[in-house]
Amino acid sequence: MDIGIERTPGHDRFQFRTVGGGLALIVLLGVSAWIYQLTQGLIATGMRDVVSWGLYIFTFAFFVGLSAGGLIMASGAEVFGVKALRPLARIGVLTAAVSVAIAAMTIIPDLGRPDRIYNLLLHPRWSSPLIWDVIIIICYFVFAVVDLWVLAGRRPSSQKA
Amino acid sequence: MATSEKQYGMVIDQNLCIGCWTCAVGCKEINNEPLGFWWNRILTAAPADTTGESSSAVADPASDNIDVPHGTFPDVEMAYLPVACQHCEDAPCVKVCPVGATFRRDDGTVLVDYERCIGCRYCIAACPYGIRVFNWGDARLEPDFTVGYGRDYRTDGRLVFTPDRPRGVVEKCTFCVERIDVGEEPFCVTVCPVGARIFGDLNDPDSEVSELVEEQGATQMLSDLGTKPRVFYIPVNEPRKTRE
Repeated sequence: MDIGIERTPGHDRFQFRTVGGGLALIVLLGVSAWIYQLTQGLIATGMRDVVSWGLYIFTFAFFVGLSAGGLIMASGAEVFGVKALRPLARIGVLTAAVSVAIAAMTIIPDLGRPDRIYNLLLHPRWSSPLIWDVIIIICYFVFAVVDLWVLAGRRPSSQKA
Repeated sequence: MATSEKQYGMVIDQNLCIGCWTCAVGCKEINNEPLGFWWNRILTAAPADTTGESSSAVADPASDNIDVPHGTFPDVEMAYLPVACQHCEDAPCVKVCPVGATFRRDDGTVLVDYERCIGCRYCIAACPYGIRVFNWGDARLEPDFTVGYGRDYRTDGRLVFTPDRPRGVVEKCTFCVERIDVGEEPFCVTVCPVGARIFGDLNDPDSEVSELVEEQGATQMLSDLGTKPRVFYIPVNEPRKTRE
């Protein structure tokens, strides 16, 4: 998928392998840590009743913010017609879609009972801001993916128009 | 909201409380609470704080440790402030629970469904009284056998008490729902050696709790938040009137 970033052909494969390999290693470490947490319970995080939300919620907020930033940049180019932002529209939407997906994923290890997450759909309580969070994050992800699909389908020439 | 005939409430007389923690230990015993769990704690507050209009000061404990007075020596003063779930009429924990695991029964008891809770801990963040506890890891019991009520209790088919803690769910004071449903008092009321805790039906104008709330100037903790707690405090420095 062409996201509108210039490439340097010679270093492509090498860069992809090192960066991708490094990231995969970090993912592996994270998943191992989560498996350890599943065996021990959330006590492994060091959180207690007094400070009951920690790094997971912080990470969630960070990625939601990053995602919003990406989409704002894209809408600056596409909706408000800011020409200077045009080259960044596609990478912005891609950032938005990926970030909001990561944000949603960071919530799962924060739950004490991730095995019961379906209760959010079975027994939603509408007075809870968290339910609205779920709805908005899902809509946001769908919107970002559709936007990405639309933008990625365009001819590069349309960028200059 | 449908209301039942009975509306349970509790009055705690701070003039009588001697800070012995019997209610807290009794609570741990009847509910088989693991190490580190306190559904019910006895904080200290400056006596002046508990009387004034500024109800916020009531929940401003001198310390997280027990028996710590307010002020600087030699000008220190102290009153005991037993704090468990306030069973609010307009409970923030009920509102923020995304799955309806925390719910309020028709008789005013706020309960947690151990089988529905997803462990998001939003209720812990929302509770202004800081009374909720979370099962961070496996429960540690000392001695390692079940004490107290010792079996599951369900209301409307929902598991609202279990002595075997599932990991990853939130829990709190239940007003001893398994006891009040058979006409008994919560265990903290039963074990209090000085009778500082009074439990009863707020709907019944002749009940002792109703009279205390009406006539003794009982206050609610953090009343300015509008949570309308069902636990009332008779503040120190107000002489308790003799009732006929």
